[in-house]
Amino acid sequence: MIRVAVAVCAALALLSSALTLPDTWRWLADQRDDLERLGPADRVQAPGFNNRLPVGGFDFFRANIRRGDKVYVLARPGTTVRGVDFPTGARTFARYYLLPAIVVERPEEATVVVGIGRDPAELGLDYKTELREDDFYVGRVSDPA
Amino acid sequence: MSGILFANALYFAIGVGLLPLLRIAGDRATLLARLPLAYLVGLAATGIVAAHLALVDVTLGLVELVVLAAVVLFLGLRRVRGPESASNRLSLAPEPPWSRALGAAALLVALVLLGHAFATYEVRPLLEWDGWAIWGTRARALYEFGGATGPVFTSEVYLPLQHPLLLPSLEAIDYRAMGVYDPTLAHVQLALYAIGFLLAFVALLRDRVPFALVGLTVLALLSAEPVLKQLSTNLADVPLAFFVSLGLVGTGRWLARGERWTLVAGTLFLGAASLTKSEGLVFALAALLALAPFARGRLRELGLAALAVALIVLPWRLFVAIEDLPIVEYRFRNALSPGYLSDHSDRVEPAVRGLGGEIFTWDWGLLVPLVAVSLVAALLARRHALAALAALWTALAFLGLVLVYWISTIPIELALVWSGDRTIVTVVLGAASLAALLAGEALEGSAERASSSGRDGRREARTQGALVPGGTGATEDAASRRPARPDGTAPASLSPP
Repeated sequence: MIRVAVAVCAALALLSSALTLPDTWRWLADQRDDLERLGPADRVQAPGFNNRLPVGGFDFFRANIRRGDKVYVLARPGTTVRGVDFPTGARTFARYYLLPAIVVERPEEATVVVGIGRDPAELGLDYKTELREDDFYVGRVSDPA
Repeated sequence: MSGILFANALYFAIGVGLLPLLRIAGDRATLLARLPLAYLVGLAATGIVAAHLALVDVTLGLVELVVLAAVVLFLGLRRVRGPESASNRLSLAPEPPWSRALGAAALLVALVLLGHAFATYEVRPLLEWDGWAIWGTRARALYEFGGATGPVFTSEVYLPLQHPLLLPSLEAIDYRAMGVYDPTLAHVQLALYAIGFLLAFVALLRDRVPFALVGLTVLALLSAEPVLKQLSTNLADVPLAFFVSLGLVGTGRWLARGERWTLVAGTLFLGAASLTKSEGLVFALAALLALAPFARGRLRELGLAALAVALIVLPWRLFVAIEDLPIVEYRFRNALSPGYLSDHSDRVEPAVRGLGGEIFTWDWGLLVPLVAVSLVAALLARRHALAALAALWTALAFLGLVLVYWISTIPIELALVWSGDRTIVTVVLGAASLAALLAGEALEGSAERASSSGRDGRREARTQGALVPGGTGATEDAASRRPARPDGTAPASLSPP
């Protein structure tokens, strides 16, 4: 009886693999087919594109901030694909994408204010420089420490 | 790519050195036999050290890793004794050729599958939200800043902050080894986790469980859809499940056989699990609690194992306390508050239903029936302690998860949609990993019962013993009373002549 039960275990393990392995294999193959075409820049931008975030704007931000910058994200209202509101989604993406700059909670802590669909000028801060590309803004308050 | 592979070769070297230092292998032959365990032992130990050093802003880069590997390897190999004594030999009992062939074929298929996963992972960027928003951000911050005392790990802007640092620390080492932040290539590390899991699983079981069962079980585990899919997302749930599963197999084998080396390996993996995700501590605690009632006469060893897990997780918990890191999703003290639990009892039923639904899905193939039948086999063979460990751990781990959802402040439906399919992975994989050990022990129990029923029975036992690597005749209770050798290898009477 015990040996039968153990044999059943072996059979179940074999059958389990037979049931799941083809789908797992196919999923891996499909992923590879879809993703190996991406270039180096696409791979870096993929997290943003996959969550419908405005990656081009964040590239503009990234080009104009430096290590040590403290960044305040001023974003338009709206929602993201995850169901979280757009300002939270944009700030979350900024936390990742703009590293090694640091995202801060209040504009008065920032060395740089980045705007998505909103002009940093509305915060009433004194900016050293202000840049704009489409709906994306960079207002520099000070140099990083 | 070469940088990341070199770093992983160093993890392997560290593991090789640690096997003798931790008394997992005391002589050359044993070291050779248990070498497949070395990579994941090295990965776990390096991850623990790197995660702790990050708390005090000390960076572990390639140079430090080379020095660490050289020192550990030197000290470890110095401890290795020469040719092994016959009683220590890890020879495998004769096993039918078909069993070995089937096991080898299953392992080959599993390795091909992991090779396929490796090829996909190396071109797969970070895509899933938590993969970059939590784990990717923490790994990149460790790479950029060298430690965890900055705002990324302590400021409320970067919530959630409660996730431990083992996985991001290892990925940060990979970036340093590559000399560049490449979040796509870092996925290779995840494929190597899976390969390490396979090797360690085999090393922990192959001299106790028929090779066919070992190979088929590990293939079934790795083929299950959620495993390689979720592993590719850079979330910590599957690495956590790997560590917990190996921790269970190691400590489970210690319970059944009294071999100290498996307890040491299992404890290391449980410790690594508790530094991989917050739930890891719940699962490790569940394992230690489930072992306690059945470890009569060995509570001191079990207590030392529990102490080791506590010491591994202590620096992180101290950091959380000192930095007063907020956990917005739940408060642990609510789990002890009857009033809070009563007020939120309406969350229990949907949590049980939701998590249960994630277990009973075809995505897992037939892993659930496999666990059920292996439990029956173990009970029939009177391996009551091991069967009870498996059942009790599964129940405690599941209830632990339910408790986490019970005290969570996120609406229960949303919490289950966001994470139910991920958090359940450890419960399923952990229980299914024990299935191979349960079945192997059942076979051995069957042989013992036959051998104790007279001359004919002994003859039959020899026949059956041919299916049982390391088949002996020791009962579970006898084994549990028998002390292991100081070097942690199996007692002589547990080794085949």
